[in-house]
This record gives sequence, C-alpha cells and structure tokens, in this order.
Amino acid sequence: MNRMRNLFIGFFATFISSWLGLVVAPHLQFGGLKEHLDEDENQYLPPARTGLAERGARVYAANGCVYCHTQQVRPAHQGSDLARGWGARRTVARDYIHDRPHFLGTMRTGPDLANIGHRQNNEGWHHKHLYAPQSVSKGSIMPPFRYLYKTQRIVGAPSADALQLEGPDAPQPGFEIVPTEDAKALVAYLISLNRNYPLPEAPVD
Amino acid sequence: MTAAYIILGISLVAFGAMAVTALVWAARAGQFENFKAGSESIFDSGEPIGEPTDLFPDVDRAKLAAVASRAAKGAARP
Amino acid sequence: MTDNTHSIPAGAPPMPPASDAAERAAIDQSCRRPVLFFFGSALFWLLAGTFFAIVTSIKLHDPEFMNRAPLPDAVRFQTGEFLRANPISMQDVGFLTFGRFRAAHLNSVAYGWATSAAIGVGVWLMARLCRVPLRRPSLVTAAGVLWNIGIAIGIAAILAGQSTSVEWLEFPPYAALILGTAYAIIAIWAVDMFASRKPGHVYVTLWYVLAAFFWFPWLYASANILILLKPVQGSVQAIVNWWFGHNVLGLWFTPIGIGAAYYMIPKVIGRPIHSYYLSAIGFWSLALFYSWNGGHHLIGGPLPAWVITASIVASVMMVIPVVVTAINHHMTTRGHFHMLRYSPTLRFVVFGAMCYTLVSLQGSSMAIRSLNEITHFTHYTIGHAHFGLYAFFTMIMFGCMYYIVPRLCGCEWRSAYLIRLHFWTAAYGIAAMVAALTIGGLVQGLMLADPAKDFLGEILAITKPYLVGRSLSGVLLSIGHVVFAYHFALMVLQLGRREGGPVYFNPVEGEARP
Repeated sequence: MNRMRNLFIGFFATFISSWLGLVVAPHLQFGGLKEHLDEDENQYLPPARTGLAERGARVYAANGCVYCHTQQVRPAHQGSDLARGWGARRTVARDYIHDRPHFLGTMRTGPDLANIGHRQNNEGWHHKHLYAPQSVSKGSIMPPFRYLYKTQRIVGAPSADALQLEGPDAPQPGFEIVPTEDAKALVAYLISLNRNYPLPEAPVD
Repeated sequence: MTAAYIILGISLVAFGAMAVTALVWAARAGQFENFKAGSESIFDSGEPIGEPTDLFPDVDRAKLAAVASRAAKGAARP
Repeated sequence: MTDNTHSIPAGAPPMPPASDAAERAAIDQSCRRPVLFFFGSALFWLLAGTFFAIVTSIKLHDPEFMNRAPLPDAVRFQTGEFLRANPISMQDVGFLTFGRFRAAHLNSVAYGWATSAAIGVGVWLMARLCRVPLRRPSLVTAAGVLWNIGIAIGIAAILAGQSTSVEWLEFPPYAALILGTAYAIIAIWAVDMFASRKPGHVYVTLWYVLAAFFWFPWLYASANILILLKPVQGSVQAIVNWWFGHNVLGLWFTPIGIGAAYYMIPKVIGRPIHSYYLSAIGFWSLALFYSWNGGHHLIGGPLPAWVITASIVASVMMVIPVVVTAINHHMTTRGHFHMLRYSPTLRFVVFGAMCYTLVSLQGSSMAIRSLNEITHFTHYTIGHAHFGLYAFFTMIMFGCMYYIVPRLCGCEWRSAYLIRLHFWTAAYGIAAMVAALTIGGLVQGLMLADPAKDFLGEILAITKPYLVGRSLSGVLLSIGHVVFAYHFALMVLQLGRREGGPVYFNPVEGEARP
C-alpha cells in the first residue's frame, strides 16, 4: 500500500506542476482583464459584440472555420503577419476577453481573420464569398456554404438582400438566392472582427 | 500579477519538496537497487527469458531457431 | 534463468510447467470480453475516422467534392417544377461540409480509435502486470459501452452543427460528460485493480499505464470546465486548450504507447529490457517535461512571454526522456533484429518506437522560435500530428493487438499475408503522408513568411499537389485498415487457425479456459 501511495504522489506532483503553471497562473495573471476605457473616443475597448454577431460566432464554430483561419496577429519579429496587412498591431490578451470560446486557431490554409472586418466590411461581398468563394476569390479552396442560403421564387419585387450573382452561380430566371438568419449572423460576426484599435499595452503606430 | 508569482513560488517549492520525497522514498524502497530482478519480473517458467513469444502464423520454428542461434552467437561476441 | 539470455532453444519449446502458464492463460481469459469490446469498437471508429479523413482531405484540393451529386429522393424536400429549375445538390446540406467532417475525423480517431485501443491495451497490461485476473470485467465492458455512446452522440452533434470548434474538445458538453463518466469508471477501476495486485515488483510499464489512467480524466475535466462550461478569459482558454491538447498526446497516448513498448519488446524477444534504470529516468522526465509543452502551440500568440518560454524550454528538455527511451529500446532489440522478420508484434512495435524518437525530436525542434516562425500555421504541423498519432502510437497499438487478440480468442491469426499487407500499406502510407505534409508545409511556411508572395495565386496553388499526395497516401492507409478489421473480425468469429503454426499462447487449453 505504501508503494502505491508514493507512486501516486509522484504522478500527482509532476502533473500539478504543469496544471499550476499553464492553467492556474495564467488565469490569475490575466484571467481578470477588463475592457479599457478610451477617454478620447469615449468607448470601451474591445467593443462588445451585438447579439447578431454573437450568434454569428456560433455559426463560425458550428462550421469549423477555425480549422483554416486563425484570429491572431503575431508581432513584427515573428512572421510576416503585419507585413501582409493582417493587422495594424500584434494582438494581445485583452483583445479576446469577449471570446467564448476562443478562435485563435492553429492553421492558415486561408488568411488570418483577426481584422477581417477592417479589410472587408461589405456585406454583399461576404455573402457572395460564402455562397460561391471562387466567384470573388479566384483560386480559393474554401468550401461553398450554400446551405446557409435559400433559393426562393421572386414574388413581387426582388428581396433587398438577394445575392448579386453572375454566371453559373446565378439562380434560374424568376428565382433569387437570399441569406438565412445564420448567414446574416455569420457575416455580422465577420464584419465585427476588427482589432485595430489602440490599447495601452498595444499602441497602433 | 503578484498572486501569479506567489502561486508559482509555492508550486515550485511544493513540487521540489514532493520530488525530493519521492526520490528519497524510491531509494529507500529499493527502487534503484535490484534493477535486474525488476526487468526480469515479466518472465516466468512458462515464458522464460530466451524464448520469443510471438511469430507470424506461417513461420517455420526450426528455421527461426537456426537463424536465432546464429544471431545469438554474433551478439554474444564481446 | 538469467544466463541464457541470448540462446533460443531449437525445435519446439519445452512443455512449460502448468502453474505459470495456466495462471497467465486464466488472466488473459478474464480480459476477453472487455478488451475485445474495446478493440472492436476502436476498429469501428478507425474505419469511420478514415472515411471522414479521406473526404476531408479530398475536399481540401477539390472543394466541390461530394457537393455535385444530387441528393437522394428521400432527402429532397422540394419537388415538382421548382426542383427542375433548381436541382438541389449535396451542397445544400450542412453536415457534409469540410469544417464538420474534419472535426468528425479528429474526434473519431482520437477518442473513438486511439483512446479505445489504448484503454483495451491498458486494461490487458494491468491484468498481466498485476498478475491477477481482471477484477469486475463487466464494469469495464459497461464503461466501454458508455464510452461508445458518448462518441456516437458527439460525432452526430458535430455533423449536426453543434461543434464547439475548440480543437480536441469539439464534442458539446453533454457528450463530453458521458465520455468523462465512462473514463472515470475506468480510472477508478484501475486504482482498484492496482490495489489488488499480487505482491512483487511493479514493472515500469505499470507505472506508465497507471499514470496515464490517472492523468487523463483530470485533463479532460479541467479543459471542459474551463473552456466550455465556465469559460475563463479568451486567451487563457487558448493556453488551457493547448495544455490539454498537447497533454492528450503527451500524458495519455505517449505513456500507453511507450509503456506497451516496454512490455512488448522484451516479452516478444524473450530478453529483459536493456537498462531498467534508464526506464525509470525516462518515465519521470517524461511526466515532468511533457506536461509543460502545450504553450509551444501559441508562439507569437497573445500570451505573456513567460508562459511561452517555459513551454519552449520544456519542449527542448523532452530530448532527455526521448533519447533515454530510444537507447533503451534499441539496446534491447540489438542482436535480435532478425525477429522483425518473424514477429508481427515486434515489427509494428519497433516501427512505432523508432517513430517515437523521430517525431519527438522533430517536435522539440518545432518549438524553437526561429523554426516555429516558418512551420507554425502550416501543413507541417498536421504532418507532425500524424507522425505522432499514427506512425508512433497507432502502429504500437496495431502491434499490441496482434499479440493480445490470439491470446483472448484462443486461435491464431488466419493469414500471414494479410498481416504483411497491413504492415506495408500502413508503413508506406504514413511515410508518404508525413513526407507530403512536411515538405508541403515547409514550402507553404517559407512562402507565407515572404509578404510579397500572393496568398491565393501563389501559396495555395503550390501546396495543392502536396494535398493530393496526402489524399493518395490516405487511400493506402485505408486499405490496411480494412484488411486489419477483416482479419480481426475473423478472429472474433473464431475463424482463426487452430492447428499448425506456432502456438505460443494458451498452452494448457482445457485446463485454463472457463
């Protein structure tokens, strides 16, 4: 029985060292980060997300966007992230306080999305890109998300939010393609991704 | 921030103490002696040292024994 | 008993005294139902995971794959004139999309295949090394059933669009709770089993297996609570995520794989481990350094420098347990390499053990900032993951199954040809896959580092052929999986060989079998 106890103390000790170091200590150090009040602009940073964008984050998770897109900008000495225009500054811990769960990602089959809302804030572009990626990004290997859209017969005037598609992606005459609530939420979320504001620990120069 | 350093300090001390305890125990309990017996504990009279316990189903055992004894002679050479 | 290490008696082995052999046969028989259940379900999820993998892989170089075919009539929800104008195709359903299939692949192979296989092997090793028949076998089987229910629910949830998208933790909390419960039963059972062992030496494999059974539930519960149930701040979630993600490999799969190798290599060859002392050092340095590795997935990420640096240091320190283990396994096998030709178990296990050394050294190097700058966010990392989980861990599990299954089923593998076919498809397949992803990842990483290189036109275009290579190597692996699953099914159905060929197991058939 003695041997068993000692063996378990060893297992416990080695494991708890990493648990304290990589879980508890980071949590105590910056788990309580709060928004920063920017007095010049009189707004809290990072800004809170709208309800629609928050719902969009669920759609982002459900469809596995994170497997090809990161949401983190590395500092200038680590990779070409800044030089590629993926952000005005590196991202820091405070940028993620609203993320539940986090979408930092580990793979860049597609470009980083930490600031996609800054680079592209046109809803129509995002909808076309999600429906038929190659129609706006030639050579893209992003899967089409047609199931987030519905095809319907035009009754009366065409819908205001119908996609402006051309060529083989366009619907048959008399029909139109409109985004579902999920697609609208996802695009609202993507446009909300903009971490280019200055923070005390990460100024934009 | 300070709390993080305190808990890091405590964990390092606690961890060090436990590691030393474990080491002392292991030495006292004879974990560092008698390694030979330890390594041989998985063999017994039914499956003694020197006898393989797994073969392809089509292997001719007599042929293998010949190969093995040649290999053993090679390995036994100092 | 100790001085004839190098000689193998010619001809048939002498008839062993009944006691030890009968005892061992009884122990093996006590594992029969639970271990075969875990192995069978593991192989089911391996096949499912392979299917998800192939589709996912093809979709990466052909995004319209499986989108073109029209849906079967049963799924068509709109008919008549409208449908003729707008044929509904498979891209109108969400569950076939890349992002869901990829998560389904990872979770089927990591939890369905690898973890089930690891539990099966771990349970058998516990019984053998505690030298007592399995305690409460029906409890273990029940945990296995629960485990499979959890995975089935989790995979269905992912495909239905309820994935959390937290890598390695995609199952929604309700499925994770079932898995956690099933695993907790196994962990408690393991402690009970260990407490009731026969007095005597605690062999080093038992340390590895017991520690792994103890660590995994803690890891799994911590990560699920802190990321999904009661989420901590976003960037803290990221470090918890990778503390978990890397420790699944380091503190669960690795100890089971290495522990199994520490048993199988000496046991199959019939020669004690080269240095028992080194194996003890290897164990404790692995436990200490591996557990700190996770932060190297976040180099350059939004975390304080000390977290990342600590992980980089620990990753580099991993060289110690790895080299120690490599020396030990090599020295044990030395002089017996001819056995690789004759023993399926040894062939798979030694292949896995060698890959463990290579993949771990590769992993240590990838944690160094300057190399990480290139390989981070590329297919190189995916190649590394497959190198570890397949070339190392899965190959060792295959090897163990080739040893264990005949002893549980009481018959010998039907066909040496099928075993060889399985080995060579697996070995060539994984080698090709790792090569394609490693080279493709390096090319991708070097181009990404140069901001002048266009993302769509240049980088994607140049990596595509490597992704096609990965799909082709995946086909090779699938052939091996189907062959092995078929062979395993023959064994379970008692269609294995009963006479002829070497029967080293179950020497006292009538006496020991219940």
